[in-house]
Amino acid sequence: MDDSPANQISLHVPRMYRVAYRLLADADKAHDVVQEACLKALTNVDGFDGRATIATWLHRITVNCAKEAMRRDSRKEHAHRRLQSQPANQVPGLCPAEAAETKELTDLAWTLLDKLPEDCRSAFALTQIDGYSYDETSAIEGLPRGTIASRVFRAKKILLEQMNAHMGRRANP
Amino acid sequence: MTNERDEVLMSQLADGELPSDQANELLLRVLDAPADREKLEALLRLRHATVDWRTRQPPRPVMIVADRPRTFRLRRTAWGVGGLAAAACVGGLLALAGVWGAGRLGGPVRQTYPWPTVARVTREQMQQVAMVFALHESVAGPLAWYAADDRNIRLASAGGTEAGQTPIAVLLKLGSASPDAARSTGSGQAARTLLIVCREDRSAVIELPADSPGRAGLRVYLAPRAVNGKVEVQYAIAVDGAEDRPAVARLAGQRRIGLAETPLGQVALGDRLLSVEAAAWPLRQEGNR
Repeated sequence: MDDSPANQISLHVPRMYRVAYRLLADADKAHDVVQEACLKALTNVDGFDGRATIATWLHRITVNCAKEAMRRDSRKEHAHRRLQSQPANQVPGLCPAEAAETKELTDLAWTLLDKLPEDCRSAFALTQIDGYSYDETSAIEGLPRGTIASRVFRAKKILLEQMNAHMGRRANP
Repeated sequence: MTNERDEVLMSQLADGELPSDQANELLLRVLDAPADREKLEALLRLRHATVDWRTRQPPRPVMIVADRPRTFRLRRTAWGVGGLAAAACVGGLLALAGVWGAGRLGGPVRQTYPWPTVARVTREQMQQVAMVFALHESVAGPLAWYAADDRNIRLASAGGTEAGQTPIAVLLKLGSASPDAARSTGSGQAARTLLIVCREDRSAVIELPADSPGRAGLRVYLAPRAVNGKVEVQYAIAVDGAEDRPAVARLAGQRRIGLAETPLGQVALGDRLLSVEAAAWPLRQEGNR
């Protein structure tokens, strides 16, 4: 594969899609946003000064395009419900019981995600949902890597505590 | 063992963010402490619970238009050189038959070309397109897409389930939108017209590089779907400038298109303004009549 801007951008498309999908909760709209973001990136590729990584630059463009789409469409409030209603987890190698448990955990994690403190939620979403590395998240957030690691852990700790409480309530109603 | 620092390290371990030596050292300590093992397992399960989100892919390919046209290659070359020759023969036969010859297709400003003055595709024209596509398929086998302008015919053979998808014809017209051009040639001369037949719910990426001076390279992405007799098309189009003005104009969007030519938008190419219009129809609809 050559290192043309188009090819470089194409490597980031799945992650751009996940970012857009997380913000919009609509597969088609997320696709359109990524399409728009790719075109904007290609149009402005001369403006990419290399100070940011291409991942953070594309992330910014994607988030801006998604925000514009959200302004055009007020469906954001339905995001939560629609994301939860995605098909069951299809991780290969899981037996049906494990798959069901993983699906339950996924849905629960998503439900609880909104209750996280904003700083933790952002770091958690970027690393655990969008698939950015800690270094990339550090660049996107403009924070030291150690801060990101700490925030991700705090988010996980809160989520796990709440999930345990939820499971405990379910086991002992 | 655990203090918060170790727990942060365990969290990083679960995320694959620890260097291997540090991960080994941490694991050795964790395995010796049942309480820590449970914590690590919980972190790993949480990581596992979100794998679906991290592996989510776009439902359709995203078109990223290259800055420069690449040399055109058949997307699938299962039918190889023989097929190419056969396709060329078909083109020749069609020309001889007067069905779809160069005279009908016309050049950039050729007045005999029928499409530029047509505001709505006629049944006769739909039948011509259906016949051309059927003839090409009879020679080359099932096609993923077919594209033709006045100088080029491009084909890609279908694979897998593509052949079972409804063929959809898209007539794409790029014309000068400048008032000067309109005044000199009447109503909006056609700079380039492209007939494409592709498959419903499948994306086609078609490249027609500039093959002569003053002629624009063209790259088109189409993903059509038939909806109530019309066609919902997602598109991205890139037009190259002339050699001395290597600008690239791009246009992307989604429209519901029917037999009447529908404006897709305008693109600025250097100091020129091009309008892009399209008509589209499901081919099977015509074939069944």
